[in-house]
Amino acid sequence: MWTRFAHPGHFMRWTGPLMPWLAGLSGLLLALGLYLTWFTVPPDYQQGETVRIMYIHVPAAWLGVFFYGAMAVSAIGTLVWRHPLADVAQRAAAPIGAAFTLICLVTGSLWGKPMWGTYWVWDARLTSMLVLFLIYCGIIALWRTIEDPNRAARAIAILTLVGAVNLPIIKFSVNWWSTLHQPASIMRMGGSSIDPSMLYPLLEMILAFTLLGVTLHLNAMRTEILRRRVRTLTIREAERLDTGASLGAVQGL
Amino acid sequence: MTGPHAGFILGAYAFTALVIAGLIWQAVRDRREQTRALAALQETAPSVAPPGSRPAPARSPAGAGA
Repeated sequence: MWTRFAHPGHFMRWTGPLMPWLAGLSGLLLALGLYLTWFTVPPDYQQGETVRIMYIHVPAAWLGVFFYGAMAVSAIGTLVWRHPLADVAQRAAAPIGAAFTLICLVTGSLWGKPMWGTYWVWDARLTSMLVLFLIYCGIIALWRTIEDPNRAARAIAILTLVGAVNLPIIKFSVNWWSTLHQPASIMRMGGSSIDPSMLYPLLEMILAFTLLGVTLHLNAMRTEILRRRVRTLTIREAERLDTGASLGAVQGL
Repeated sequence: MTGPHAGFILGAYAFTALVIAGLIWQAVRDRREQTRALAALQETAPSVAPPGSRPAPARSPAGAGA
């Protein structure tokens, strides 16, 4: 069943009607999340109003890691099963993941200055997130270097899987090393350490960002399928014209 | 409302809005570009069906829609 759903032709058909609904729902959830963040969340007793940055920083960090995880799964799909949609999914995810990782780095920096007194420290969590952003950039650059998607797919899938080593480092960096970045406060043993008045709006923003990210990803996948279709047709058309020109030359002799 | 660190808070939200707007703009622009290119090619070769109208067997990782 999954193979049928994941076939490019079927994928285009079942995602087509879904896109406006996903986009609308993302917009609604984002509007609700922003309302909760700005009008219901109380200032933190230590961070004050600056805590509001967390409502974009945490979802962006989550999506940066989430999209890389999705790319690693797609890379396995490309290398093991050579599934046509796996490479498309991987390629479509890279710029979106990079953009959210960049948001995470910049908003974290803007939070760090008033809270820590500095925009940046070479702390394990911050550095591993920067490495993730650089890996994203490397993957995007490699895609642009190799024109033929067939050749690019395998090389990039291997690079993506090598880079996936960074994911557990990001997650556990705050436990393994003494970092300035605070330890996990949502997903941790013994439950969240955040007060419900702050936690629920944060979870809502994470959900809104995730839905927005998935919508952008599905749309990018649809566009990538079109791009490959255009490339194939362009090559076919060039070959047809080339054959026609050769025949003309032969007849002219 | 945003206290003494208003610049940092508003800056963070403005940057996020800018990046997300950029992602959406790029997605719309790229989609339009590919749709237009595909339509132009289909005019040249009218026997080609649009993607999604006729499923073809999967062949290679880059065979999507090809």
